[in-house]
Amino acid sequence: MEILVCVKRVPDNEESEIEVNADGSDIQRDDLVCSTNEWDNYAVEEAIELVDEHGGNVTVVTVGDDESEEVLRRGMAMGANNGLLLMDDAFECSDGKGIATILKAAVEKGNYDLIMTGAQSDTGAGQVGGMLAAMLDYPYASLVNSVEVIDDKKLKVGREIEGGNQEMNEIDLPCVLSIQTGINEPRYVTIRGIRKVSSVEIPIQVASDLDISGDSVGAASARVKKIDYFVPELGAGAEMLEGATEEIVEKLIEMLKAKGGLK
Amino acid sequence: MFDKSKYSVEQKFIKDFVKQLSRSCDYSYFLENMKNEEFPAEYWAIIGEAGYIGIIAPEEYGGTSFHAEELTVFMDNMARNTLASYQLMTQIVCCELLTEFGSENQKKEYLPEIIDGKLCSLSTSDLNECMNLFEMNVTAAKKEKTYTLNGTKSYVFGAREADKLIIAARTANKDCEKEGISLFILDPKADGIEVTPKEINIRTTVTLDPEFMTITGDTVYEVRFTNVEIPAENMIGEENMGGQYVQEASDLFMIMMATAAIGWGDYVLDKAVEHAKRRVIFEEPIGSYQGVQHPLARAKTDLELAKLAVTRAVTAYQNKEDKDDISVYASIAKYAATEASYTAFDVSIQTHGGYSADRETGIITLWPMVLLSRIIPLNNDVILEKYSEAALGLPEGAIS
Repeated sequence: MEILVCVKRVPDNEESEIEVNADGSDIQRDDLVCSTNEWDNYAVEEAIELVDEHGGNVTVVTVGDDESEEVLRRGMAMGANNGLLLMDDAFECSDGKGIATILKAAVEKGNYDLIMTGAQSDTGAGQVGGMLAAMLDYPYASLVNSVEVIDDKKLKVGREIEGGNQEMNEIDLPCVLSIQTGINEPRYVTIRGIRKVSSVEIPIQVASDLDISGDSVGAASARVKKIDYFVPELGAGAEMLEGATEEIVEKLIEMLKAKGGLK
Repeated sequence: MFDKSKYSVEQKFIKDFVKQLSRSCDYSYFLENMKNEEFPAEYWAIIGEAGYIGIIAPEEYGGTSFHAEELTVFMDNMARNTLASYQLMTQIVCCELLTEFGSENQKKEYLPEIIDGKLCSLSTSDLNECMNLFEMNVTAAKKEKTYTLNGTKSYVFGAREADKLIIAARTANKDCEKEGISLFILDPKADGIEVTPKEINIRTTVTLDPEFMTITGDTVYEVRFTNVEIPAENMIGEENMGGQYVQEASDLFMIMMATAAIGWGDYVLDKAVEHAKRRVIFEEPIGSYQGVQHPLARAKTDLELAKLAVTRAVTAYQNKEDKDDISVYASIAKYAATEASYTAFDVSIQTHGGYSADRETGIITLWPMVLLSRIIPLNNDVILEKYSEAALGLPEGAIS
């Protein structure tokens, strides 16, 4: 099975304080520690496990800049066979549809049975998987939390449903799956894995390699444009409890008692 | 190498590994193991399987040939996440000793298994009365193709859990002389070896008596050798050269210790700062009062200065600068970092007040690590004495 896993380099909010920049147009990106989108690590792990069991290859792909190469190396250090960087000035500031357009072109240049994305990334939009499937006219399953190979034409996938329910589906290959966290336990990046990929040359494909016209991607084609970015004011009824942890806990208990939540 | 935003790609992956490890083996995991007096086997298995013990060991023997800088990133992140252990540092030093001085057969036989996580203890000085690496009551008498070991090593980390033991023993000359010491690798379960838990009275709410165990599972033993026969091929390097080997390896040990001390210092100081921001007294966070603020700022300054010293030592070690210079830089780094860490720890305790004694806050459990860092592998007083002689030209002191 040939699997393509779409990964993204995102700010690491465990390592960096995420703050709005001075003109309020974006987050402060200077000295920001970035890493692979958490959901994508689960997708890479699932792909590697499927290939370990059924054979084939895993390719990790990202749309980004020079620095984005690191998320490809991380995927390869986990065990993916190949990396592919889609990088072009024309791709900058693409919206979800633009990213899906670029990925669609990469899929069509390859020969993949299964395409995986993380269920969402740092912006929480969760658009790319679904758009990519629609553009490719592939079946799509979102929030996937289990994958089982039925045969070389079908998968059985589990989906997480609101309220803690579970749905099982059969889905034809080729297809697109967006992977939910918790589907597996992503493996450790071993130091030997890091050494193995540290000097690997990662191929780059630009717009012309992918037969993408400049007006179909990037800022010019984006139909969703970010116009402001800020930390919202606290709404009415919201109250931030302050003080030491034990003081906060005491206040919280008092409030819950007062509202009837605790007796 | 201490600024995460400046990490190379490889260094970021090392940081990611440690972050993931800290989720699998979190503080409660270590606390539970320590309460039950159990060695943290899962933690050790993950590190071994992931190959990090061999981070600077040669690739042909199962290592990855990374530089001291990557080792520093690894150790700093491990300590910041309270995952650094003395056994881990020891194990890496054992790999370095075998890499630098071992025979080809020894490298092939021992390095892959030590890198994969088989425990290897290291015992150099006997640490009885004088604090000298070369004070040695353990002797190895040559008898044709074997050596016979006799004597006692007083403080050996992890000796009972170990699969291999590297020890220094006197093969010539008299006590405290640098020459005449040889290194051997042996099975700690061989006939004639008696391993006894060492009673260490670092009194904290978590120190287990009579057996001592740190939060990351380090244990300390006395090891007695009675007519232990060792084949001559188990000698590492040349006869009587072990003292020199130990001195070179202790430079790496000191750099790792310095790095870990900085990680621990940053960890406890971060906790103190968070507490100082949250804890409100007289309607203001305690961090707004100079009496709390200034000690925290001084401790942070000391840690940042120590990072510069460690960076210089790592550069000297990595670039294989003059051996004496490496020793001086490693000593300065070790002294500066462990003292800064000790201060940060004290300030953190003062800032937290009584909460610091609660093991759940994750501060007091680090106390034995921070305390021991000032005396392992060399006591800071010994470092000062050597520095007094080497850099200031003062007469030889009385403690060595």
